[in-house]
Amino acid sequence: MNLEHLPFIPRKRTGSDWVLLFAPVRMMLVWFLTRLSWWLVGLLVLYAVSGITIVQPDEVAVVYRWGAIRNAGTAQAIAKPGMLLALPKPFERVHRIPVQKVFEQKVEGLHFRAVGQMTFLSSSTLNPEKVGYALTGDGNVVHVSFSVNYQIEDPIVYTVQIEDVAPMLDHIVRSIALQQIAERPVDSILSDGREAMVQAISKSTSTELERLNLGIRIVSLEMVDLVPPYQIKDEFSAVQTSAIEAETAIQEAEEYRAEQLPKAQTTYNRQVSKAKSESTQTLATARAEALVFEQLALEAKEHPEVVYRRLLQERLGVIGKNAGDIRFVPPPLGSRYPEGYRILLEREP
Amino acid sequence: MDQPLMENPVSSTSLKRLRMVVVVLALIAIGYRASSTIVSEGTSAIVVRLGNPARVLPNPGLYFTLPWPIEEVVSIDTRRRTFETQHTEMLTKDKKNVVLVSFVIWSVSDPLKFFQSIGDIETADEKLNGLVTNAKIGVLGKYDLTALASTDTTLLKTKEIEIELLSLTQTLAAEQYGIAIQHIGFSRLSLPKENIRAVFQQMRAERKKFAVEFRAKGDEQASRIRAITDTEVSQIEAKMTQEVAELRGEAEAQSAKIYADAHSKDPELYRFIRSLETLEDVIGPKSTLILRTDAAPFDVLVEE
Repeated sequence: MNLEHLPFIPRKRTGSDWVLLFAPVRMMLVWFLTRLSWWLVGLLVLYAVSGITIVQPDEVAVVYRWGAIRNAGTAQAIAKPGMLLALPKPFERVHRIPVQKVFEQKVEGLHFRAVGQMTFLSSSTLNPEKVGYALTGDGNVVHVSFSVNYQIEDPIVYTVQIEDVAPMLDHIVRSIALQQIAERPVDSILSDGREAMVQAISKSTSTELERLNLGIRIVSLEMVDLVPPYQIKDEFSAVQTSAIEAETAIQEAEEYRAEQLPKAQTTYNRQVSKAKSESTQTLATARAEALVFEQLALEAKEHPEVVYRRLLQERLGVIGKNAGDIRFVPPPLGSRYPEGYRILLEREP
Repeated sequence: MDQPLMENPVSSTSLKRLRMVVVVLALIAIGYRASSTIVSEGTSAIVVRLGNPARVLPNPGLYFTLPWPIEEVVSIDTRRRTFETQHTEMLTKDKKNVVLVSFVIWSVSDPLKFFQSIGDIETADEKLNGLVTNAKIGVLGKYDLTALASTDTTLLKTKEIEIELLSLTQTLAAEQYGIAIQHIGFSRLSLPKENIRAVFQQMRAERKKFAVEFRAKGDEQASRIRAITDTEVSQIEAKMTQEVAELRGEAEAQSAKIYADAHSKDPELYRFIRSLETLEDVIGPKSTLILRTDAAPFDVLVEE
């Protein structure tokens, strides 16, 4: 049956049709092939040098030859910064390791941040599968999180023996933190014992990393957050307020003391000084008056009438000025006292 | 077909040579790919011949095998890795429920055994979970909760529990699964959520007690400081009064002696002067002074 006359059925292509169809492709291929010797040389050169690697100043490199570390077990196994000659893949493979870089690992498994949402805050309890926390030695609960900075210490161990160091470090820090928190009372953890606890966790972590030989070392370990449960927040705030109030009362008492003691001392000094001054004055006056009296007495011995009269007259002048009224009376006849006076004293009613 | 396609056609000799090179290279590549395997550092490989493990390639390097489907190479990651057990409640010796989550640092120690008994990492995690949890339930039943959390450090036995768990699981994991457990630690220690309410109540009561204690201690200390201050101020004032009195008394005594010494030289004159001074003090605006006209000095005004 001849199908060539039927509509919608494609005609079977002959060989010459295929040649015509792929003629442009063939032309391009031939064009490339005529120049392939240069391209090939170029590509071969590029391929040959593709293994050469520049190791940056903060890196070292390990070369794997057929999957095994080149010069394994020798100092040459780790290539220092600079140009590193290596064969191209698949013969050799270069792995650069940033040994100077400080990596950060957040440890949030004992904190509610690890949950990623805060719906548990309205709950009256904590679901351990959803919310991280640590038990304290006195049966309380705290949320705690850390940030660990570390560097690669042993590039071979780090790259060859450990699948992923980050979760390992996370678990180790959590484990040590749990132990340290579990032996301390909550008040020590939240206040004065906090610093010592962080230091203990950091030290224990370093020791544990060394024991487990993970190829890393701790640069620093910081406590990012340490809080009591949200559900007890108000009670903790009340304690804090009480502590502040107590401290304020003590401070006010200290202020009172700081004010009253110097004040009393100042009064003491002033009064004693005044008394000394007055004593000196009293003695000076006494001495002066005694001296005057002695002089007067000497004079009175020699001229008694003059002295007595003068004294009387001087005083009488003053007395007369002070008196409300002065009356004169004639002397009585045959008076025995040629000079005499009477005084009438009138008291106020 | 033999017509030149371009003005500068490729010679047939060159084309043939090139084709040969390409074909040889392709054959080498295919042969290499099909019959070689590279075992990297941190891995081991098992050559499986027609479904049966034929040999283990424990060290890194280039190995040659028969092409697939005769031989197949299964790579096993032998690097250390971590696994965390699931949250499971368990009972302590003192009948307290705790949720103790552990982590395990492990690696494949026997690739062939691992391949035959487990096969992959995910299954290994499941096996380890069962192994460690089972051991944990048994071990924890021998310790009180205070062995895990207590302010009395002599009661804490966390390290001992970890070591006991390790010794219980290490041999089993190695013998059954070809797994080396390097370390078991506790990454979470929690109480069941039902118990946390009681913990919260206890914490609240404790906080209230502390708040009252703080306030009372503050007040007591402040009162003591004030009382001590008042006492010290009183002591200073008393000392001041005494010293002032002593100074004044001494001065008065000395002056009295001075006066006495002086006045003893002429007591009559002293009495006269004192009398006049007394009069000066006594005579005031309400007093009437009556003087005789012949009294001095008014006598000078009277005619004889």
